[in-house]
Amino acid sequence: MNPFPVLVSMFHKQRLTLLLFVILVAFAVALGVAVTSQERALRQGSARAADKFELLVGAPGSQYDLVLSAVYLRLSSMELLSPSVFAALMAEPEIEFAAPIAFGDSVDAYPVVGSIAEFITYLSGPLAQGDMFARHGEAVIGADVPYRLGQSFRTLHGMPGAETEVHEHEIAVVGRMAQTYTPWDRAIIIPVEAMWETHGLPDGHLHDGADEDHDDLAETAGYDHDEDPEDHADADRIGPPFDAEALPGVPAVLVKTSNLAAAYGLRNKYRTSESQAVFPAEILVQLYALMGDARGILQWLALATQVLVVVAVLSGLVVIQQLHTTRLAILRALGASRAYVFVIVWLYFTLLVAAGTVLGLLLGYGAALLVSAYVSSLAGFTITAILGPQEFLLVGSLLFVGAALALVPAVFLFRHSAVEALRQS
Amino acid sequence: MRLAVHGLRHRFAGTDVAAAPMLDIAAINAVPGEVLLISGPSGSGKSTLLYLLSGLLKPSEGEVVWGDMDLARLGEDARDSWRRQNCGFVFQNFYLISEMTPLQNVVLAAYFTGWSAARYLDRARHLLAEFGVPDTARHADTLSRGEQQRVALARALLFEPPILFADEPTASLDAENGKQIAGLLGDLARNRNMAVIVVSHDPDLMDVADRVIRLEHGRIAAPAIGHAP
Repeated sequence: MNPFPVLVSMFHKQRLTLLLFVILVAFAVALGVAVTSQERALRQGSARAADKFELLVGAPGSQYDLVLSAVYLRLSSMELLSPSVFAALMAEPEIEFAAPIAFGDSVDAYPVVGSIAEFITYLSGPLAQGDMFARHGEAVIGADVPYRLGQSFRTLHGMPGAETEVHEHEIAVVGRMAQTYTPWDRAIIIPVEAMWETHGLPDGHLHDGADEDHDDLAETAGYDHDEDPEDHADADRIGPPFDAEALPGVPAVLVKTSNLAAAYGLRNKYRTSESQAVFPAEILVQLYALMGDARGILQWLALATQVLVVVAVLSGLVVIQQLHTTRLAILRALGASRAYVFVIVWLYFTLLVAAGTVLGLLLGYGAALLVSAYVSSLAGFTITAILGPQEFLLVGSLLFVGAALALVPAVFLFRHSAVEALRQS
Repeated sequence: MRLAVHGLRHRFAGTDVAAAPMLDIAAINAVPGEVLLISGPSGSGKSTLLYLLSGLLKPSEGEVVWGDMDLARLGEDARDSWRRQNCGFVFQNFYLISEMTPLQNVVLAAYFTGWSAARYLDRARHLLAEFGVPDTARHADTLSRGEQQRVALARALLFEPPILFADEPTASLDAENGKQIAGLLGDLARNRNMAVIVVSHDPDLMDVADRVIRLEHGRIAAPAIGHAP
């Protein structure tokens, strides 16, 4: 048997009404698909952005502020971690590096962050262009900062959007990081010494060349301090080792340890009245747990909406189907079996629901891509919505429900007397 | 082969079996080459008799015999299959599928059992030409009423059935088209040796009928006019 010639004629007869029904189902499905795929993309994008931030140490205060500022560059005014704690951190034997993250300036709405070369190499890997900064007046920019190598600028004091004054030091772009798909793609990183100096703070190095404490600190931190004694006297010197006496406070320190146990140990050790130590991943899990409750409610709401729409649409279709009752009775009179009529009616409903769900899947995906692009621009890290098993399960469930509900009119018309329909025609 | 009825009684579902049946027919024969006209006032049971003869309805009592097969003993699916192979149907309101072309309407029944109607296309075109209907790409509802009824006739003849049922086939037509259709039904019976069973009041059909049965209150009110072989 071939039900499609009859089906096509039935679809053609009520094409505008059916199109409206398909669009209704599509919008309901699109809503669910967009919500679930977007929420997942947001989680994955934010988690990816925090991947490399193993342990953050900052002054006591809000853990969320610390993570949002240091990982996502959602900068806010924070207490500074005391120089002594920073110095102690750098002296820890199990760290690979402790990178200061000093923020507070900006250029053209791009945050300017002071840090060290190790941090840049850690984030980016090999630079995409140019060289690492080697002195105070140089910067390495994130992949999305639209500056050219060699271009110079002056930083503005204050966070993006709240700048107050222009700093006098001119900075030249010497390198560009590879794409990291994190907010750091929009960052301009300068030597932390330059940041400190710009703000009238000690630059982390003693310049008299005779400080014993400094030598001790350098040796403890594993830096071969004596190899390059000339740097010691160089006012333009950048990078560790720092001199404890010349350190100012810093908003945050990223600590990279040699192993996970060390990271846990440091986290516990630096949870004191003077400092807080957090795993950003742990903070994200807390945030996701909060989001998860809302997500569960949203998903149920979306599913309920879809089922309600499908039921409403099927109810409407049952009314439409009654218009076809005579036609189906005629088919019976012409010799069509009850099975043929059953298949036609079942396919009629199921194909409409299927068209709505497939269209909804595409619409939802399109909407999720648009929202992703918008949220990426707001959040500063890349959010890529993709269709996952959850969306296909959602659509599959809806299709199953639609196909099951379609059995009701199909069975009804299967059992309906053709003679009855012919008499009423 | 003839279609014969013996002791046919029919009650609507749910009616008390002790009550008088709404249709009570002792015997009818429909034979090839003849037009059997069933007439009678509204509500006399003409259409019900047609549905019983075509297997759309199963009688409460009695036999509807085709060859050595009693339709009354067949299940619904078997009766559907018998009807598909042996019967053509023409209705008062044509009941073409308006979104299909005349040709698509004629081959419609081929899709009930097969995937493709390709092998019936030549025959369908031939039938349309025979009945003077243009093989057009326009939808069937754009044809005149007379043309639509001729498409319905062509549709009924696709599988060359030995029996043709026509339920008030001229009632929706003007006099000229009614006369044409009546003539075609007579020709089909005689030229194709079909048993044509027509329910109608139309005097034009009286003219082409070989026998006429008049029903009143579900009973044959007058002996069949004409010769019953």
